[in-house]
Amino acid sequence: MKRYLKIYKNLIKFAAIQETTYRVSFFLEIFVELAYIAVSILLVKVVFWNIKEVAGWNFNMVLVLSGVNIFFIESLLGLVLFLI
Amino acid sequence: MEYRSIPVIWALIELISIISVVFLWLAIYRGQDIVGNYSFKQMLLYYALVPLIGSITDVYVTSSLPKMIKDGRISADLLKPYSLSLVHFLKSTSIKLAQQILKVPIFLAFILFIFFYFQISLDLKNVAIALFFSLFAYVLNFLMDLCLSFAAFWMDEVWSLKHLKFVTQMVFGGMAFPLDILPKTLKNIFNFQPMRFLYYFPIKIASSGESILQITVGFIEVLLWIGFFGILAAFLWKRGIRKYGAYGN
Repeated sequence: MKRYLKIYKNLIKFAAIQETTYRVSFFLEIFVELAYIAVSILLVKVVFWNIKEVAGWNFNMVLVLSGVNIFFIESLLGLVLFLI
Repeated sequence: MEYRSIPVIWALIELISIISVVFLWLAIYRGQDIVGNYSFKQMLLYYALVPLIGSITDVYVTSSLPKMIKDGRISADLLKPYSLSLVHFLKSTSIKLAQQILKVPIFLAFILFIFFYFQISLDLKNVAIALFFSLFAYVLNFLMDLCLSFAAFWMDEVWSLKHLKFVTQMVFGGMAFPLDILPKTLKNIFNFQPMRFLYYFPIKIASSGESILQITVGFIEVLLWIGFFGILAAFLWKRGIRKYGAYGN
């Protein structure tokens, strides 16, 4: 078990080194990811600039839903893809 | 046309995403008749025209050219007596024409279904003007894509460029929502950028939302932006090629 954890630790380390080797690209990737999140929030905001609620859902509720959706897609899916 | 199923699958993916957007707007319009000066039918018309206009204005040079620059695969082209930009323009146009044969019937069937089901009508003269305008928007989009692709001369990894372009096009182009439902201040800012000509403006022409004067001004503006990005692309190419190096190709 300890041996496998060590292997995973090294894999994570090498993946991080690989990702940050090209610094400009790395920051651009982060910027693009943040832009995707900003766009999804903007889409919600655009709707709620024009109306107060959608089928009983107000802006804050939809924002939480979008946040959970982003979290699941970005974090958990990323983790699953990393593990397989 | 070698892999015929790919454009068909992409067309279906686009349709599925638009159908989900239609369901979202159905829920939004359940509580009110008008959202940002758009009735439900007008909103539906807007989203129905997005894939059709997009099938003309979309360009995917950033999917291939930056990687070719990075891998040094443009070296052979540099020795030949033609312009690399022109070759990519012709290549992009021919791919588009081949894809249209498969994609447009699917989009047209979808649009006709929407029109008959929700009883929406369109002025064919405006549609013709919109399609004609879209050709200029295609040239503009190609030049913007080319400028972005040339960034590969100065960058180490280039995949993010493609995504960056998609995100900006989605918001600033009017692919995600009509730009005139934004608050006035934002709308004024969005009116000064070239991406609105890729989706929003041609769709507005087709749905009779623009006057003759606005269309004329739009044509002049798009030509000016084409000139600007043409000059910028030439400048970036000139500077980039000086920096370019390829070994063992």
